[in-house]
Amino acid sequence: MRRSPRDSAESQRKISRRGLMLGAFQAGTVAVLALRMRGMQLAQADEYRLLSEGNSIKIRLLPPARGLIHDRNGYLLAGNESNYRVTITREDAGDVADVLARLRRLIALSDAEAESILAEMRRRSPIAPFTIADRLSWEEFSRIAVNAPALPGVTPEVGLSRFYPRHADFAHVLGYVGPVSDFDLGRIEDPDPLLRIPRFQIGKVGIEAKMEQALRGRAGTRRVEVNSAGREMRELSRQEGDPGDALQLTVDYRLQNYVQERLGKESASAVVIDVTNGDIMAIASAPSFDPNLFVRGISSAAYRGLNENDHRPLADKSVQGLYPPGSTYKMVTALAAMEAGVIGPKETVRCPGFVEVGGRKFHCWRPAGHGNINLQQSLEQSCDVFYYDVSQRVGIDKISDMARRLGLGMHHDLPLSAVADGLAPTQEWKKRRYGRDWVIGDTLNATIGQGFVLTSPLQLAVMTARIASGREIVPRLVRSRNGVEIAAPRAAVLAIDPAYLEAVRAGMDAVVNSTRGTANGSRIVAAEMRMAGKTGTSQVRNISAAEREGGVTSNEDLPWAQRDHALFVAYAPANAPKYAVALVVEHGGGGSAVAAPLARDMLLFALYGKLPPLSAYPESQRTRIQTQHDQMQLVDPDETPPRTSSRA
Amino acid sequence: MTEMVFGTAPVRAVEPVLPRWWRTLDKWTLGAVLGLFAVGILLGLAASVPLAEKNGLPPFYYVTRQLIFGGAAIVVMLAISMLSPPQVRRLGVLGFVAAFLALALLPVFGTDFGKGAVRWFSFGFASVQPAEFLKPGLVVLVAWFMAAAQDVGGPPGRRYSLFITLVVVGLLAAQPDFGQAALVLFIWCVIYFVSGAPVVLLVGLAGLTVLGGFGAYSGSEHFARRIDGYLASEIDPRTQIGYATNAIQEGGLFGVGVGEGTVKWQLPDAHTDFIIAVAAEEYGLVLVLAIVLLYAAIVAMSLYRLTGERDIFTRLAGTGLACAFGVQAFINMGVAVRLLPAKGMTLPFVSYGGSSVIASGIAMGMLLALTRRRPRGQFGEILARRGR
Repeated sequence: MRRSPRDSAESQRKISRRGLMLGAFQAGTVAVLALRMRGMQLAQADEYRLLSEGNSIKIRLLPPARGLIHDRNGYLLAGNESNYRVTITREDAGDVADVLARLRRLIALSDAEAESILAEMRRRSPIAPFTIADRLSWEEFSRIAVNAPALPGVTPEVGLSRFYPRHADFAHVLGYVGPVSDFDLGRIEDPDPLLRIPRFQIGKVGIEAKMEQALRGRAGTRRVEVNSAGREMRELSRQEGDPGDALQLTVDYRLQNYVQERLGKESASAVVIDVTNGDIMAIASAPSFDPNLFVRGISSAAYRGLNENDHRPLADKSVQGLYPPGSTYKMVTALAAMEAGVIGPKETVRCPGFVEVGGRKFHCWRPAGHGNINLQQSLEQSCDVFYYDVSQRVGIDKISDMARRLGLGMHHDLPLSAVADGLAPTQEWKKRRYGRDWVIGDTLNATIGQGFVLTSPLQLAVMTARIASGREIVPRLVRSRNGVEIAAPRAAVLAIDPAYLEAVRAGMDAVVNSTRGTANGSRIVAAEMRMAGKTGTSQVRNISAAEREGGVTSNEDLPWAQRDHALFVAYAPANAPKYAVALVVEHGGGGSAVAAPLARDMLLFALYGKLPPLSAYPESQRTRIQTQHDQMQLVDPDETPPRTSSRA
Repeated sequence: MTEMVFGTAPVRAVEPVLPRWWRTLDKWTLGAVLGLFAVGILLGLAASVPLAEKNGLPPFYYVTRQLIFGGAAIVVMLAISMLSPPQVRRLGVLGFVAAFLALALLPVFGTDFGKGAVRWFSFGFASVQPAEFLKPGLVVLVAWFMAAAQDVGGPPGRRYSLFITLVVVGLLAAQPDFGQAALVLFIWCVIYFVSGAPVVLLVGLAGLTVLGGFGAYSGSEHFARRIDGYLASEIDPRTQIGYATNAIQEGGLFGVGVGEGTVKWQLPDAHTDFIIAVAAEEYGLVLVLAIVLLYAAIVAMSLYRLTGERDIFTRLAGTGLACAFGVQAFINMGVAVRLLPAKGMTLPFVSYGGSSVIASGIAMGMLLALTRRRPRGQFGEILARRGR
């Protein structure tokens, strides 16, 4: 290859020139870099010059205050309290036993505690602060601060700790916080440096866990100069963090307190929901526990007590508990049957007390049968045979489809732990799950809310709210975040013929208000508060033919764990529904005897916003109700609960 | 009887290979490179201990590895520096093809090590970042095209090389690795500039780069986050850059002392992207300026020696390699002192990483080969051309 000599020479010169320019450019960048380095390291050194050789600058995190949680009226449900504690750093303390002995003259520490602290400290890093005691009183705290010079390595500190002023009432809704565990850290990708602060608390269950990101806030930072012993000499700069978001729930703390109190020691759960907008007014699970125990570090004996209790106080039964809904499922079947056109509101079915399908006898709860019975009466008297009959003509898939439209067997997105989906079974589901075909007996069981059907109290409350309002009510638990209302669009109208809904509502009205209704004893007599509902009693055991022959064993004669679940769903006022309630008492016995009175009381409290007047009750029950009111220990509605973040 | 030709360096016809190599080698640059490598090991002793501890390995695990990789890199560098320019060209082109294929296959076989950008092939015991190996090859390829374009009747080398460069830039940006993409584009511009580009065109290209940057800012969250961190006047002390700034400020003139630094415990990338912060904290401004000086010396020495070179390809390739080396070092250190937005780029020879150090060895070997003193003048040109 040749190039013309002139061209080549020209190109050579150009290249040389440009090479020089490039060299100059690079020299410039080097100069800029060097100047910048010098500027950062030396020019600003005055500001950062350390007070002494051996001192160094540390970045310390300022833990943000965790977001507060209030009820719908602004009463504090979860706040932060000052926690005075004292830590010791072994390296700085010198003779730890000696320092500890001097400390024991200032605060109460038993010999056993001192022993275990010494033993524990020997295993820990000498440079990491170790907490000797926390939740000190102000007096103890100041005594230590005053005597600091005599206590090398000992630091009195103030931290914030979560506090639940309503104790057990909101244990399952709020959950609780606890120190970050290695397990927690392992689950989180790129953990917030905050989580590495010793004793930093994060949500473990409930809203505290589900809304952790909102509640936690953002850490601030301090740049401090520390001496070689790690003691802080001065603060160089400070950047405040942001506290966590404040949440306002839809729950009413007085109603919640009443509901929890009314459930008492039973293993039970109740959900009260606003029919018009889906706001959850109360969501309770009993028995409950005090979440403050977990924040402070629960003793292993107390934890074992909670964990091994057969009433399962730690479980949130309102969303995690799945129960066969029993006869409360009959509204679903009734609506599916009317929609499928297999039965009109006035058509009757004859109930002889049982039907025989596929060689098997399916019994009505009333051995003598109900005779000729229409849809409204079938709900009123909870006839099983009526539903055995129509369900065979509807088919399970249509019934389950109706269940899902009413909010059963589906997921409701609430910020609570392990919200269960329940089950509205289909033929395809059974094939997939068990590899066997659906048989007609499965349909008969499902149609009265037994067999494969499983629902949670929350789902039953949503179902009742949807039937009462005719709208696709979606439950919600958080009303506003940092004072900003969370918009709740008006629910869409259910795609169910209003005439069918009206027929079912008439049946539910009759359950409570007709003299033959299964819950007539729990009616509300105040005309404007009239209640409509449905009882349910779901079996947890099989009744053998032999037992049926000799008379079914009554619940009182059975061990607790084999008794029936008592259920009741209701709404009121019947003519203009405002609140709906769903209630399950595990192994409580009959729905009408056990669950219905409880549900009525809760609805009344919700409607009146306080203990209802006796005039709302049937006359014969007023004395008993009065005694019951007198015995209840409720949070006085007039008391002003703590609203601030700190108790100290 | 020996025929003497005036104006040429004495050619010793039967001089053995090694002595001739040693005599013509740029020993200053070689010394500077070895110095950088030693600094890298020194800093690795401090900076990689926390990582080893975190991964449950012996404290100097990464130092040992770096010594092995570095040793390999030096051997490779010395071997390549013995090649002649045409051999360098062949090696560069072949290397480019291999690295380009590897780069193109990244989306299929690559891994991101959970960092949000697919840049590595993982082989279990080691990982390879093709982009590092691609750069020297690309420089050589572009220089070859540009040099060929200068020949009468030569191919339109500028257009070809620009096309190839843009494909590479596209692949890098897709990872996303905007730092390497910008570097590659910059190197092309440097070579084009030196080979005699119209100035207007260069200005236009700079404008396009800015526009592209804006596009990336609005299009990529990864990219936008880094730029935002750079633009924020108040440094968030919990970010990497915050820790690095703190460390540099704390270092002062002579540093806080060997092993006394704290930044290495807080920065996940203390042993790679932010190694200069460790140097600044523990050894102070003295070592930092020494490092800057070493890089500057390598670039300046190479550029100086290249001014005496007459072969266009050799000059273009040499300039490109030297500038790529210098710019990469500048970007790395510029990030740590917040002259530039945060970018994942290693400090050649100093940062920990097998890919980085071996690729740097290859590039430096090529540069050393190109800057070796060669016979000048017509006769020398004839000798040099025989190799073509």
